Amino acid sequence: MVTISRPYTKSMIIMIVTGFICSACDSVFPLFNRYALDHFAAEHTLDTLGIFIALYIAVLAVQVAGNYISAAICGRIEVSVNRDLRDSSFRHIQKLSLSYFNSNSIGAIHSRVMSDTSKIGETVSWKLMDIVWCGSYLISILISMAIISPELFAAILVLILCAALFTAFFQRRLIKVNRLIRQQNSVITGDFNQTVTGIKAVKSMSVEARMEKELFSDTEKMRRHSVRAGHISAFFSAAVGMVSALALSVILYRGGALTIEGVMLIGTLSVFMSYALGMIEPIQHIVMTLSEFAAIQASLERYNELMSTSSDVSDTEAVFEKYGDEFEPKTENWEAVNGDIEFDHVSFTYPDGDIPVLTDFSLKVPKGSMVALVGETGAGKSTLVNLVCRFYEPTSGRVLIDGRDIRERSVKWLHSHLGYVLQTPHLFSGTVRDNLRYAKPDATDEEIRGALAAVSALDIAEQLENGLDSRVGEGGCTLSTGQKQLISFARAVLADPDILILDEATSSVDTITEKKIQSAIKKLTGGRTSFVIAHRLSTIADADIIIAVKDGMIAEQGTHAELLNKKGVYYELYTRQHEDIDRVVTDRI
Amino acid sequence: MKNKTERFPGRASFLRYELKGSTGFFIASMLLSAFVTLADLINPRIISCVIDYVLSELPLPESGIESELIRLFGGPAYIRERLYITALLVIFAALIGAAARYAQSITNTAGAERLVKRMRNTLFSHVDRLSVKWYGENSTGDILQRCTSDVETVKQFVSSKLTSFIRIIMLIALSMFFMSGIDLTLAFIAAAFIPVIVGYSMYFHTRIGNIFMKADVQEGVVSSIVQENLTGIRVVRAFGKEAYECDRFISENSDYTNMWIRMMRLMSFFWSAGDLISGLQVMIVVIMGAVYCVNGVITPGNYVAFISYNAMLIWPVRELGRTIADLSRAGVSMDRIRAILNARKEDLSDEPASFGDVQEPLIEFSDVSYTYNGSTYALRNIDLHINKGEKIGIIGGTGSGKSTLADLMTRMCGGQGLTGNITYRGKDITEYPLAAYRRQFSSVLQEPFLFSGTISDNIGIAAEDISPERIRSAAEKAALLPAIEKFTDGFDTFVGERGVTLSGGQKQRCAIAAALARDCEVLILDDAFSALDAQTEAQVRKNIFAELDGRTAVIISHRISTIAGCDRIYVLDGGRICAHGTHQSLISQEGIYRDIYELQK
Repeated sequence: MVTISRPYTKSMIIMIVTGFICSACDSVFPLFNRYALDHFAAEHTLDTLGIFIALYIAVLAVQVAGNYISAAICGRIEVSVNRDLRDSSFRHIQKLSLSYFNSNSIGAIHSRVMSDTSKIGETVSWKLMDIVWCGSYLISILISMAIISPELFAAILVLILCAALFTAFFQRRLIKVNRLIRQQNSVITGDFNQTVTGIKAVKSMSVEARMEKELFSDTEKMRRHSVRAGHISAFFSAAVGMVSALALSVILYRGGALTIEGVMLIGTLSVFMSYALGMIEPIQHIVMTLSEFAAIQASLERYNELMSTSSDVSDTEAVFEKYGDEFEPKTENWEAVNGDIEFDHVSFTYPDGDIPVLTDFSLKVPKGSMVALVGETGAGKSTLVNLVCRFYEPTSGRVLIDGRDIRERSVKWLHSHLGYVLQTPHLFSGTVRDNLRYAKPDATDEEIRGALAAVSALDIAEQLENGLDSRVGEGGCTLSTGQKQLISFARAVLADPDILILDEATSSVDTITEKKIQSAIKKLTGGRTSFVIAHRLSTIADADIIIAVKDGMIAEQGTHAELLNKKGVYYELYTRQHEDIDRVVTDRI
Repeated sequence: MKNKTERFPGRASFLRYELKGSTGFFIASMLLSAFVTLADLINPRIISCVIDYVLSELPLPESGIESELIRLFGGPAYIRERLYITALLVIFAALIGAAARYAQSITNTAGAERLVKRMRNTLFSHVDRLSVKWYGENSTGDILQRCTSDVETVKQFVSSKLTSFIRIIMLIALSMFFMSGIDLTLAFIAAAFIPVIVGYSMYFHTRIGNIFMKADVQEGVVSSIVQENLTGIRVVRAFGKEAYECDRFISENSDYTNMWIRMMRLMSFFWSAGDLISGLQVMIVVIMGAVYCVNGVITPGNYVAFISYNAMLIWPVRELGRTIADLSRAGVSMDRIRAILNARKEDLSDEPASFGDVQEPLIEFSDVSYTYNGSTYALRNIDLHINKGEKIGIIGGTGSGKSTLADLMTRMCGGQGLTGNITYRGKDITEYPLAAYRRQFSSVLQEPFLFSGTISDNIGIAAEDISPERIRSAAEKAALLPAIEKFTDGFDTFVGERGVTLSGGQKQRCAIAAALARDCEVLILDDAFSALDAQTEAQVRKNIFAELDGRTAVIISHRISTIAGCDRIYVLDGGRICAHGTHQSLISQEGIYRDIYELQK
């Protein structure tokens, strides 16, 4: 927390000092009443009224000014710290390897970036300020009491300690219940989220009533937790009220006796009474804030955990020197890509797995060839692609591009030459044009139309209500899966990559369109190296290298003809699929 | 927008409805808070009497409640010897106050929690039954915000703001009563500030409230950038857009920060100006009180009491302005919730439906056209019929209206924009109760959705009290069993946002298993095999067909092999049916179908 607030040390010191002055002023006001009672009223004179008023105004002015300064600075520190933390965590996320996103839920990462940071920001500003304000107020009234009457001071001190212990006790229980409430609250939010985002599934399954029953029981649970918390805090506030009444009664009893003895004046008695009433709130505040500090620890840990996660894939110093990083690429040093790719004795095991997916795998992919990866669902076809993209690095062995180890050049360099079309397309909210320009910010409408036409998506785009200016909605929700795939395909085409990777890029696109795209792509890929993952074998029959994957292992590789002759995994896949239509027609299955 | 069919035409009717079951608690809480206020206001009177009559030995007035009470306790001189009496009195008053405060607080919580529960429940029941079309017209983020933070705002308003509003009014009235009992002029001076402070604080909070909303919107922008970057991280990486995204984030985030810095400055200014105004009020009361005290208009004890009363007033009065300003914010939240509740929901009541005996055709579309937006038609002049027990294939290009056809059939869409007739068992589909009608169908959607829960929860989602054996057999038929067995927890593996991530193919098979686990008349598979390889697909399809056993199936696909075995295949092109027939008849004539067949052969 210290490092986080370092840039604001100076502001924080000013904030603390002014905060201290304010509270000191606050504790001075009862002394004015004392003077009025013991001097003006007791001696029936108004001789010093002028000075009295002037002093009062002066203290008030200092207090008001101090309040303004400390609150303004405090607010600035809060939002600045908040901004710094969010900026750096966002930047950090951009550097993390993809495996992190596979093992952490989006919701969890999101709340680290958005809510944990704001809690930390609040802590180093307002919570700290609370402690300063309340602490210095308490200290100054204690000092003032000790000077006026040590005996009463001692009695009050005991009560203060009681109140503090009391608060600490209740606060701990409250925090526990509140944690339950927060959890239950996120369950309820989750219920809403599920129904709202999955409404069509809810309806087609006709589970409205079931979902409703679930929510009703969740809200009832929430009610019970909250009522329990309500009981605790109600009892707490009643009890704290009692402590303050006890303080008052002690003062009336002992202070009254001192007044009768003539040791204490009535004004002084009244000062003590105002202090007794005024001290309870700061005590509560301090204890609560301190225990909240403990709760904030969790946020800080989560944030630090995110920031200390390092990428599985990162560039070495030397590479960084020459090629720059994601944020300051030194493009002047970047070589062009020819497109020869080689796997050189590559072994690979996924970080969270224990079975090697690749063992001593070697393969040369000459420039311009098309590599097809086929195999059953979930067989691990994406592994090779993940290695080429350097989303993961080989456990041993090397991946070479144009004869040089992929690690000798920066990740950013590699990605700038890659085009990757995913099976689950992701579009950004914005217009169709915005989404295409993502690949090439300065693309003209001509180029955009060209790219759309290349994947036969121009008709689709033009049929939308506002053409290229149509908004696609969150995640492209206004489009069908096939349409989204086409647009994300066009986006990759527009980027004009040297190495193209198609991961079941057209699985939801109809065959005729797919065929058109293929011939267009063939022209487009020309001399480009490409990797294609496909289910429909007809689409990859003319690939230069076909790699058949089975149970996470590479079963065989070769050309279509070679593999058919081999009568192995590929042959089986191919004949099955090929016979399929005829068999379906005759057997009616 | 207002019309008679709206469920809640105004805020009052909305509140009346939601407050059912909690009104009693709130009324009790308000009555108790009056009691608490009274108990709080007793102390300064005790102190005043002690100072004046016991300590300063001023003569006790002949009449008055206080004099009577003091005499009851044995008179000033008696109490002077036994000061513990006063201390006990304070404790006694505090005990009563504490008990009242406790009771007030828990009745209020009970009411508030009942209210918020009812609000959430009514909202969910409604949201749950709104049409798919409505969801298309409203953004998810906005709906969720209404269901969560707006509900919270209304709860806060009713439970804390409204009750504290009543309490503050009571406090002002009662303390003014005590204060004017001490001295009318002084009370008048103190009261003169109240409208100023309330008005000022109202002005401030209304103004700050508007800026607040803008900042909220900006925070939404920042938050959605994070969300987009997390869901689309692969795209960001693939296009090497890290720096671009960072710049975008940093610039939006700094806009947001600057908004807050400005707001903080404004708030600090308003706060301290508020401090100044109330500080001046206290000062004038202190000085005037001192002058009156010196002139013998009021006693020192009353001076102390007056100042205590005044101090008690200051904060609540400042809060009052805020409460009034929050009124408009709560009003906005209420309107936003009402907008959801006033949207027409689907009637999913559980009335039993009798379906006719007509089986030929089971489903018939005659001259059906449909448009989502009123201008472009998704479907045009569709004529088709489906007999009981038939397997119907639908094929067509991307965006040719295949899914719309399925949605019309299951009444996911329809109503405005629909022309022509769709019948089920001889009667128009809208004549059946919706819930019972939809239960005739079991659909696998193009984009499968997992509910948070275990795999077996997901498979059994639509079937009440389903046996583990049935879940297992459904998973087996969907070829999901091998995948499930690889998970350490098997069927009890958690999936969804907080569980393991399933691959696209696994999700699809899970949805197929769920559809199979459910009893239905018609099974609809909307491109349900797109993420499966040919072999798995063939296996699953075979299992499904074997399972049908006289039931009807509608299968939408891009693959010829998926639908070639169907009894009849409809070919869609640009929203029209351009051909139909069996596989054999379709490949023997020229057309899209044969083209596709040639390509896939």
